[in-house]
Amino acid sequence: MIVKHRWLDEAEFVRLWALCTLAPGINQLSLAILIGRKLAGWRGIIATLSGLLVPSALITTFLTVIFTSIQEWPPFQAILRGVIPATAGLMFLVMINMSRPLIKEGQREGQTRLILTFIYILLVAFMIGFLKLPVIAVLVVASGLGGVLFTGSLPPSKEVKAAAASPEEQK
Amino acid sequence: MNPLLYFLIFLKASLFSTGGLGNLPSLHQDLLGNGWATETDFGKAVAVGQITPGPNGLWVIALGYITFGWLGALLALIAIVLPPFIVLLVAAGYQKIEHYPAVRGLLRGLSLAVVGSLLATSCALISAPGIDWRGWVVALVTVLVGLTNRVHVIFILVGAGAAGYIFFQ
Repeated sequence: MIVKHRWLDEAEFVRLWALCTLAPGINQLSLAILIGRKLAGWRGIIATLSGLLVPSALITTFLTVIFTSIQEWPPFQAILRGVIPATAGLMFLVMINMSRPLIKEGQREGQTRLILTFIYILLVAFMIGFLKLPVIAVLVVASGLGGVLFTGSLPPSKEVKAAAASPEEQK
Repeated sequence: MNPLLYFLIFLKASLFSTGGLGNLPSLHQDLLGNGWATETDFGKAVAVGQITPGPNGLWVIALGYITFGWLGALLALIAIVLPPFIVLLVAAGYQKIEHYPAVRGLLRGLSLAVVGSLLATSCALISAPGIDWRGWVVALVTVLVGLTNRVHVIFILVGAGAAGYIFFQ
């Protein structure tokens, strides 16, 4: 879509996406922010973000309102008793999909890194699931430790920088 | 409920998250700890988030509405919109950080930890009170069907709902 309108080319898109994976939160929102700024500065950001958010946020809220208003209805409660365990399954799937590239990366780097990858995941799960340690504290310590254990290089900056520059900077 | 504290819990969770569900473990812990949400609230919110189009991270808006009404939905929306703006700082400072191999390791450590926290939280959700062996069967089938990558999430949830209706009606 974006490539079709010649707002960005394919390679630029990939570079911007790489930046987005470095930012916290929902990556699609980061991408909308970068693309919006590239096209029209702050007004662009407002346009792309609201374009992405307004329809889906409204639908989400609307569905939730319906959901909560019929939740006392017995047949719906029965349905929910099937849907709720399924969401736990979906979350497990999200976890598996997120771990795949990380495990592959570990595999590429040899046995030690691969074992370290699994230990990391299980240890964090144990600390949060059994020891009930604060999630954010565990995440902060884990990323700090990661900075020591998993050093590696990022893609070269020249390309990324050029793709992310705002319109003013490009003039 | 204290709206400011409520908002900060959501903001904190999103600041330290990657992906759409990365903030769930932290929200799960904090909201349950304060008695502001139940395990089922999370199941409902994630289900709504998966059914609606758009980024699946918007499930947080559903969680906001379920736990704190319209104000909750609004606060949740703000809390998920703010953290992605950090990408502007990342874009500006990229040249400075790219030479530190530690940055990459930091992100990798964080991603691995998010995976671990999701593992812990999905185990907590499935062992919540009110879920018996029939629930475990539904969850197991969900995982197996999902792993094939052939069935859309909406159909998986419809199937789970149908199973619920048959099992519990």
